[in-house]
Amino acid sequence: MMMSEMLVDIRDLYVNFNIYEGVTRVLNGVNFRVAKGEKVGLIGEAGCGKTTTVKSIMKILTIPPAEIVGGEIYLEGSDVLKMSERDLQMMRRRTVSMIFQDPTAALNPVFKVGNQIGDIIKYNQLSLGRKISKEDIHEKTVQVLKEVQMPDPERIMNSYPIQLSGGMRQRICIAMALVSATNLLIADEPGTNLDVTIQDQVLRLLGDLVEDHGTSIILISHALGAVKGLVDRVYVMYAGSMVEAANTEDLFNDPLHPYTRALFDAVPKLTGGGIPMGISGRIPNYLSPPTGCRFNPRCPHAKPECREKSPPFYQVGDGHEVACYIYGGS
Amino acid sequence: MNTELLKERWRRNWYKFSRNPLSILGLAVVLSIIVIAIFAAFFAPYPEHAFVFVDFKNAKSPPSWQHLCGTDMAGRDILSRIFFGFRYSLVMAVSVLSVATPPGVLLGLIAGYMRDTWVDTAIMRVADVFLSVPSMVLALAVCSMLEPTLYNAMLAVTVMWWPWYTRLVYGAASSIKNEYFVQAAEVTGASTFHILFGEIFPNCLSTIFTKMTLDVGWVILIGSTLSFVGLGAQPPTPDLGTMVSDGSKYIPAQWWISLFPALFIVVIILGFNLLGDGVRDMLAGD
Amino acid sequence: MSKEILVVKDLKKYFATDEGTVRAVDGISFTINEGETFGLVGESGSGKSTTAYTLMGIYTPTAGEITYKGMDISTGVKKRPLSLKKDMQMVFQDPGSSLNPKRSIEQIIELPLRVHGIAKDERRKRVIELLRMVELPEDYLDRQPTKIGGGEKQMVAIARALATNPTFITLDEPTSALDVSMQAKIINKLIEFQNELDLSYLFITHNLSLMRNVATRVGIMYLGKLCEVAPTSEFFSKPLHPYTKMLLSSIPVITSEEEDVKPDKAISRGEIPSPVNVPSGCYFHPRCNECTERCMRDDPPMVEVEPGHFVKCHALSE
Repeated sequence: MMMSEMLVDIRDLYVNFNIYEGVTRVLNGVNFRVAKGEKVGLIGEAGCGKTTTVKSIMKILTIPPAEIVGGEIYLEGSDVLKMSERDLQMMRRRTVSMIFQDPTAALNPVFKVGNQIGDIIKYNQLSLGRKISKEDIHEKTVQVLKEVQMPDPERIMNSYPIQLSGGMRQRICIAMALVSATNLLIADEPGTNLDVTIQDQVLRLLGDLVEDHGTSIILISHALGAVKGLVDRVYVMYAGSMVEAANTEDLFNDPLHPYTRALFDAVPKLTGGGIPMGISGRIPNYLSPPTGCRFNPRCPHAKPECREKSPPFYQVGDGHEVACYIYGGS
Repeated sequence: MNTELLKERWRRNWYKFSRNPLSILGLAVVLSIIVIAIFAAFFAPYPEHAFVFVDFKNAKSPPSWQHLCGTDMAGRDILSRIFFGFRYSLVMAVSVLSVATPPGVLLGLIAGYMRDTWVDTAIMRVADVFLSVPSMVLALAVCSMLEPTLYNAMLAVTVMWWPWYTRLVYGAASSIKNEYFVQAAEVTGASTFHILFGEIFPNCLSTIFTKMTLDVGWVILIGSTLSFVGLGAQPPTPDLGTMVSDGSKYIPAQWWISLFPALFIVVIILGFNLLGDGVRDMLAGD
Repeated sequence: MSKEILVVKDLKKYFATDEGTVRAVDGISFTINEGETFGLVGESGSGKSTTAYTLMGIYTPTAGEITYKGMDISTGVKKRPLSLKKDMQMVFQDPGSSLNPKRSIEQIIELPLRVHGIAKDERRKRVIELLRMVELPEDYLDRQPTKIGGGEKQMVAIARALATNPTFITLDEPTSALDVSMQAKIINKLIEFQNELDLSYLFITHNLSLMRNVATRVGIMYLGKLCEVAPTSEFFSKPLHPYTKMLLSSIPVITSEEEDVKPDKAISRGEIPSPVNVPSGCYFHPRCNECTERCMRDDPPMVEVEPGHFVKCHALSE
């Protein structure tokens, strides 16, 4: 495992949340890697820990009630968990940017969109030790708005978020993420609140921009099809750990983990065929999760060893890893 | 089974409330004041000094071990009078809020649900008229028209207090009425009465209750101010505001006569405010 | 030939706002037959939810006719007879806000029964029966909605809708807020109920893959107008309207078989215009790849190009 090659390298991450009822063991040994310039998708259902995982990368979890109880997070070779607050801020400004699920909530309603983008440009430059003039900020803002295909950038700059449509707001968020010239873009469900045709446009835009700038991207979605068109590699997450990782083609053509298979089966198909049965059982209660592999109560292939210990990632074919005893181990 | 869930709910509420130590402080202060007010005769070192009592030999003596807050111009122990004074403050708060809140809330519910109709306009404009007159001016006006008594002071404050609840509930009700569960009730055919009191009102309770707790401080302050200017409780009633007013003539030489009552007004208000913040935190995450 | 249960004729619903008149629903006509699931699809601003709300009486129609079982119901819900409200029920989009967080599950499900005068012990029995039908445990009676999951909340909403034995249920995006596995469970239950209880559904969603497997017939709306109506298999295998094709070609799918059935990529252009400023002529013309002079001038009529298959497009009605 060449640490320096990886942009993001999360190893065995354990995160708990301390809430009223007790301790929820949300992340249960997450292993996740993104190489430089790579586009990675992260799929999984609500509550599986996708957002918690990426928030850990930028260390923007609310601690408390969250608590990182084990594991390491390397970003560009440095251990995020050991960074000083100052270095973390530097990292957030220069290395990683994030697009959130709800563009309306991510934009400040009382400031003009141009100002919000301008602020990011200003602080980004300041962190590099440079000052930047108002005219330059203006010019950069117009430029980035053109990049995200906003019609009439000047008018948009003078608008408030509420005057723009959902698709436009999401594009503003993308612009804000791009303007920091970062190495890693994290997009958390970027199209979910948008219409299908607009989502399509936004995802294509994201794909093109990421190609042009050479940025790595982590795309989180519970819409499996949306992820397929955009990324090179996909991680599947269930109840706090990664269960499968593979190149996009391989994963969708040949899903191996029982959960991944069940998930793909549960999606209604455009070709018809009726509504599938769904996955029996329910997602675990994080206060008292199942021992061993957390999917075992719902898995049609569960064996006694599955209840004892969580399976590690087994290599199956080129870049295809599965955390399941069916594919290796004792 | 119901009681089990209820207990669980209160345990959770307490957990949310107790996260902030200041809320516990507020609760402690408020509970102490209530207990002292009820059992003033027991707690006060000189209960007989509370009303009519003179002892000119001991008048105007500064704070000492026998009189922790000193004595006033008639020789009465100030601390004892303060303890009895709590009663008037609390009675003021409880009466005003229990009389002003129900009509205020009811009007707010109706106006909010009937938003953008003539009913809304009628109710809210009337409320606006009351709200546009500065509260003190209105209270003073009412008091001066009637005899200056504690009772009339309470009446005055009640008259100008209800529209705040109308406005509060109006805002809450008009947004809640657009929630799907209200529309579901309408589609099913529920009566307007049920929708107002069964669906909308329970969702306004936390805001109302929080405001009531925070309002106690305000009501007491306004009541004390009215007494201070002579329009509320009259001497020899040991009302805190009256005591501050009586003592003002003796500042700065016998500073303690005004200072301690004033200090305790601050303590009461602070206590209720801290408690109110805690109540808000407790009910917020619901 | 099934009997028609709901007939909508030239329905219009306009809203007066500060910016002008919003023509949320601008003259649509369709029918729903007994026992079928009529799917209404469209993006934001299409008017599909407004259509549902107007049918249920939450909004009063601006113009047009709605006939239910032969009876004219073109009024708001307050004016409708109680018996009608017993017969037509609705499941809303967001399970989180369709259940009153301050009431218990029992109170929520029994409300329709209370309104329609069922006695207290009868009500309790019925609520327990409904919980069993949606596979929720009996101890949920005293729980509050905030303590149960999104999928379970939607099951409660469905139980509530079934309480008075209705004939017709409107389902507005019932699974959009839920995960794929929860969605599968709920849709299966809905289909089961439809078969057992002879229900007719108006099913609204923007998820075309879901629609493909649920609806008997599908209608697609754009900016308040119906563009195309057809039986499901034809709608998906032979889409005719340019908007339908654009929408179908942008659906994200996961298998290659599905990719093959999608129409050729009609790159989606432009944004949906604001419903206050609708384009002239055919509403879709600014985004249409096949737009002509005529499209910019005249609003096309709805024409039955094949039995049961209606399209509103100049290019196709020629």
